[in-house]
Amino acid sequence: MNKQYSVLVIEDDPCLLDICKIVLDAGGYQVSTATNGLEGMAASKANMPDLILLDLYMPVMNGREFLQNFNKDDFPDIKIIVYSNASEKDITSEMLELGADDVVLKSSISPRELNDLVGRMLARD
Amino acid sequence: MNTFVGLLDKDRREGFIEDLTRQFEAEKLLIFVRDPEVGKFLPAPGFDQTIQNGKMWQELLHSHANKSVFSDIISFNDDTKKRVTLLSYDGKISFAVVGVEVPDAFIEEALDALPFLATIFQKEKVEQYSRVQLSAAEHSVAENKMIALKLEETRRQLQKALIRTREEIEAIKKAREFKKSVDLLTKQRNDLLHINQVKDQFISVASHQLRTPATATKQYMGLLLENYAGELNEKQVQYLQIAYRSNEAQLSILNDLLKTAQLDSTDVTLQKKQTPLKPVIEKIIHQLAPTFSLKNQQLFFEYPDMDVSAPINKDDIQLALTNLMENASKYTQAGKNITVELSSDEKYVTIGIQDEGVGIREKDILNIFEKFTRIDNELSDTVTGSGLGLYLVKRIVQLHGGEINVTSTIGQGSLFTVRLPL
Repeated sequence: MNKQYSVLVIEDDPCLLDICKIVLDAGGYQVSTATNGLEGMAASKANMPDLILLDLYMPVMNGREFLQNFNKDDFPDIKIIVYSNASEKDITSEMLELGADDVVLKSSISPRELNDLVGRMLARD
Repeated sequence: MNTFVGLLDKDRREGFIEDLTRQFEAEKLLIFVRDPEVGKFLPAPGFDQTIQNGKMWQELLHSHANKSVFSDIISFNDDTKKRVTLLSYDGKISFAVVGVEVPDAFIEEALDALPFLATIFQKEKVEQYSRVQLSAAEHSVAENKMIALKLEETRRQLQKALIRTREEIEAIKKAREFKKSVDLLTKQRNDLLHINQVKDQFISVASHQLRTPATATKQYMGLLLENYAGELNEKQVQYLQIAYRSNEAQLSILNDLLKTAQLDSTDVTLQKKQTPLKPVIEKIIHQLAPTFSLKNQQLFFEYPDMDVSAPINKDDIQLALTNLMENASKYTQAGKNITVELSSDEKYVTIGIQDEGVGIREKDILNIFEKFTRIDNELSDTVTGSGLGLYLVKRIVQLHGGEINVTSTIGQGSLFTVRLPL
């Protein structure tokens, strides 16, 4: 890997945050974290990550509100993967419309698959 | 009682009395004699009394025979009201009606002379009066009849009005009762809706709170299985795989509960988009390949050459068809076949999922689409699940305006057919 990509994980559950960090650290990414959308907004501006792994249900500011407030035009190079547990609702099209690049269900992929997904997304132009 | 009034002239002829006796059988005989000197009729002495029988009457007449000559007789009779009997001088009796054959002067003279006749005449007046009275009475009766008719009519109308009023009262009562029932039902419905909403919220919150740690558990086990914490030995991998599958089953149930709560909520609307069905089915087949492979089952997919698209919510239809195909695999013994057939006509897209499994008993077919339904068959002990899978399938198909049917033969397999409108 020539360039070390940076990934911001915005996740309120400490266990899932921990898992993402383990996976992405192992994948060779520079990982930063935030535990809600508001923190994530500040971290995005401060760190300018290459990719944001965004949880949906969070306190203070949830993932949907984050996308609504995150001006993609200001950060055209930041990829956003909505990494949620909302299996019961059809959120994919809504999230894509709000500016997400992909939507994935937490319980549907394994750690390695998550790592692969992040890799594929960053490899996209 | 017959009353005979005789007006006699003094020149009577022999045999008159006998004739008179034969002619009249009156019980009372009043004889008035015309006195030529006075020129008027006077009561004949001894005749103003009641005659008990014809004989006495004859005797009385005979006793006067030498004194009187009968010329005229006027008789009154209750039956004929007023009849004038004229007696001629030759002693024969003839009849006439007053005013026709009896001279007026004669009647007047008789009336002047005889208080009794005047009385009789007054009786006529009384009768006239009575007739007037009768007429008035008849008129009154007629009026009364009219009044009675009117009263009867009024009574009928009142009766009808009473019936109507009773009916209206009944209707009002019923309407009130109906309103009470409606109010009660509305309240019960609102209560049930509220309970349902609370239940949905509970399921949603509970499931969500359960799902986050379950997902974390799965991911930690994934980290171990994918060697993020170093190599594991064979036993460790084996145990972890069991735990992993168990955790997946748990997550699957939680996901079904959450999906059910979402689809049962009152404000559910599915976002639909015109979507080609073949890639959707192929994706499911790809995802389920390990499942079929594990039981050495062959899956055949038959589809037409042309594109078959329908307005669907892709994720939900994918979930529904995945559930049906997973069931086909679960309830079919190892080594057998499952066929998925996609077709369409002018109105519908049809997806048939045919297995060669254990089949469903006829009595169970009606229940399989109900919530939390698990049916017994030879493979049900080996199959886990929430009992919500087919309910979700039916609900999703319904929310697309489609329908699902099932035919099954025990020991030969089942065919689930989903029809979605174009």
